[in-house]
Amino acid sequence: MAIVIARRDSRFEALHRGHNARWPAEDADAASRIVLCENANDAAEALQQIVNAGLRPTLRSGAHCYEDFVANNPGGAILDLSLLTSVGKSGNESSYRIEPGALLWDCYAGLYKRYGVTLPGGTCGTVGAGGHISGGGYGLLSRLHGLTCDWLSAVDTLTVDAKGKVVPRTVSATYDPDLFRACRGGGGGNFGVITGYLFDKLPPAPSEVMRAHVQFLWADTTEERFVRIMKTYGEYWETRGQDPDTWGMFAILTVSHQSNTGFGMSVQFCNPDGLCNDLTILNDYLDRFLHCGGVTVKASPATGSDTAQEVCVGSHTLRRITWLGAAGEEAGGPGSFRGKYKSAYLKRGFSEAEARCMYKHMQRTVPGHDLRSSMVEIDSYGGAINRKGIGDVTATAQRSSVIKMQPMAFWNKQEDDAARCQWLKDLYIDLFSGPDADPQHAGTPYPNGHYEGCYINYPDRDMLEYPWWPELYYGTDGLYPFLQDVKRRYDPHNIFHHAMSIRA
Amino acid sequence: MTMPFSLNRREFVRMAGVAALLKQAASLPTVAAQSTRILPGYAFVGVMGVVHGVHVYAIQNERWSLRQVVLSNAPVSMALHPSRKTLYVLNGVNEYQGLPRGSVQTFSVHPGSGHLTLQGRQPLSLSATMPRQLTVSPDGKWLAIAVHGGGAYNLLPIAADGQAGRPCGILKETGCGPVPNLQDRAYPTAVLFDKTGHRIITADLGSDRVCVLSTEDGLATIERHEMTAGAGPRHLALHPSGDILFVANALEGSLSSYSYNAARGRIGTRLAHLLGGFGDALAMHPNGEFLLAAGNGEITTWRIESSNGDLSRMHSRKLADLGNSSELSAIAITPDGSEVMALTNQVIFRIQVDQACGHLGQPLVAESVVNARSIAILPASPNFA
Repeated sequence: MAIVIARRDSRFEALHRGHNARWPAEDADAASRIVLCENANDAAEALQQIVNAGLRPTLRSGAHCYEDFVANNPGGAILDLSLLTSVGKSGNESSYRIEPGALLWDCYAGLYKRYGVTLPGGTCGTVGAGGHISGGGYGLLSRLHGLTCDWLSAVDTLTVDAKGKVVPRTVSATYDPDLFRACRGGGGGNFGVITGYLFDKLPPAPSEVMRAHVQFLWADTTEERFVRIMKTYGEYWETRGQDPDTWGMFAILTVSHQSNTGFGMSVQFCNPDGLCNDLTILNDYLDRFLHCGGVTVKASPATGSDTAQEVCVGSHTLRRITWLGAAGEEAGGPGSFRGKYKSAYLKRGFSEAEARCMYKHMQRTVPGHDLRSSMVEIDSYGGAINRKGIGDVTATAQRSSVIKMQPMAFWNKQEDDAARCQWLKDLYIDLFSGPDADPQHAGTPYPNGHYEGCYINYPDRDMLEYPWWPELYYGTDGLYPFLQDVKRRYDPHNIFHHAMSIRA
Repeated sequence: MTMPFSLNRREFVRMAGVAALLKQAASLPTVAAQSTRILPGYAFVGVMGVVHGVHVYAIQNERWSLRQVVLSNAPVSMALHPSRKTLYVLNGVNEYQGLPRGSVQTFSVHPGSGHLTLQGRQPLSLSATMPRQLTVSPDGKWLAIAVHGGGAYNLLPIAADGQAGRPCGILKETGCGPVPNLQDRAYPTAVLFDKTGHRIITADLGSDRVCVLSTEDGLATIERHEMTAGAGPRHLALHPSGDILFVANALEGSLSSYSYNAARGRIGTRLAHLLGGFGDALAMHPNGEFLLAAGNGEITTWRIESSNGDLSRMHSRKLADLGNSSELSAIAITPDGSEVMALTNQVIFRIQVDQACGHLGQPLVAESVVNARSIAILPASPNFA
């Protein structure tokens, strides 16, 4: 039986917010109750009660939603699935089952320890499987093994029919295949309550990985050098980085505001066989940044692991670590603070104009505001994600990109909201209004030869200012109309909705 | 041509349309009146023609003269505050400020001239798309809204200055009926307050339900009354006594009356049920003796037997004889009960009502307006000018 936490309950204050402390924006935006479910039956009963009462349900698993889609639910009910945490096979099941409340770190650990397999999932271990997988789900192994949603075989879900009755479904390529496809990247909170993900197969976890961290000091980084860094990074992932022998390498270049000492790049590497016997590719990659002032430093900024072993390769100091240890280093994730996030996919490396634009904004200050926690995270992309045909059976449209960007900012005080969001917005609009952008869709990475839109798991309400926002997240090849059809069919009352949900 | 600097091209085109409309209105011929007495005052008409807006007409003797046009997106429903100082206009739109929701505009009403001044525009709840009807509580403290597209009801507080506040009650409906396409899901269409002012009665065309909702702590369902499958309840009216509820069913074309227990907020037994195409509009005459129902291009007066809810047909008046003006979108009775205004897709008719026998006079064209969708009538204040 579900646990109902009403406003007067002492637990409400702690549980009515997610990780982004901006939401609910005001007390009047808060839900009237949080309904904690312990299993799928609880979820079905609770959902039926919520629907019968005429309340709006919003769905929560790991509580990492960047925007207000869950916590802002005036008078409604947050259906919380964070206690549905099982990971693995049960009884005679041949499939791996992951429940939505399982955190990615628990998925990694459980799957690795029991079966030696993994999700090619996210970089933040405290993200819940529910939102992560339904929005696509990518991480450090995605270049090697594709997106998490690519591996899905079936989804247990609860929909609400035209009569208002909750309908449990197990959807797959055979049963309700349209809804199944929609659950493979269409984004959370759209069609129903997912109570379980099933995978017939999952990729083997690497035995070990190499990790490197390259540091760039702002004091040494002129605009010209910055342009060189960005172009070096982008060109690699556009060209050499798409060769299958490099797919085990994943890099995150985090360009922090100049009020920091510097910025850095983290790299994780394994050979396609999940071992680290041949480090030629990694060494070659790191060498490319030597002429940009990049220095490999001994430890990653993340918490070091006792099991890590320092290795010197060429002029670089690397860390050899078990894959599970590496995944654990990423498990912390953000705490509770205020944040704003944006995203963009790039099909090509950075142009000079883009690099200069980014440099300009990283040098720009806002009087009275500390921008140290303002940055652009730039991830390598492509590889197995871009396998031909996979886009046709999933709801992730972006299958041609080589880079994924996440501009973001964090702060603590509500009074800083406007300035921090504006800094990020100015950067973003400027960046995507240059010569590489489609002039008809300036200010956004609208799909063209250079850009491929945005990531629905990094939702950004600012994009609602553009009438073409669905094309940014779902492409221009008919995926959004397909999802609208699915929405009409499986959620005729639009029970599941938020600011950027599919609009039928 | 130089545009006003504060207008973008789209706004300029809209304003140009308004100017042309004002010019056209000034040249309209007036219709000779048959009525012996016309209530002086103002008519606020929500228009969804080329330009969407609220037209303000001064009614004096037989004349309707256009005094003002204010822009308003899809003004599908409007209601005056009991103080008569504020007009609420419901915007039946799919999207407002980039989000899927409708909105309510608050206008202050100048008592001497009927002039409207926009005070604010309040978004409805997320997903409250294409709202259909709004009503103000008898005490003037609440606005209730039926949300057709979003399948929901919203309750909004009204501040002391008349401004509509953010929704404080949201109720999402579910359910469907047997009529394909029209009843694939819930489509709330009508809402009215009962005499207590603490409950609203709602009609849902999609789910064949008339419900009673409490407004005391947000919105909560007290009763769901199932209508005949496929009836399609569309319009509601409550007898001034507060204990007889009338329902016009658009899909079945029927008119029903029910006992209503205001003390408990319960819909009782069906008292009368008439078939014959009465689903287009419904209005209660202020004297409580007549109910006016419209459908199939005609308006019919029914005498109400207040002791048992029976309805006796008194008189019908066809609008269809007047060319293609018969598509009726709303009717409204003047506060003094002397006339009924009928809004069609081409003109606004005014029809005299004999308050003794319910006889309807010849329809007269009060004004030629394309796609008039909603109307509110303000009796003149003593300093009417």
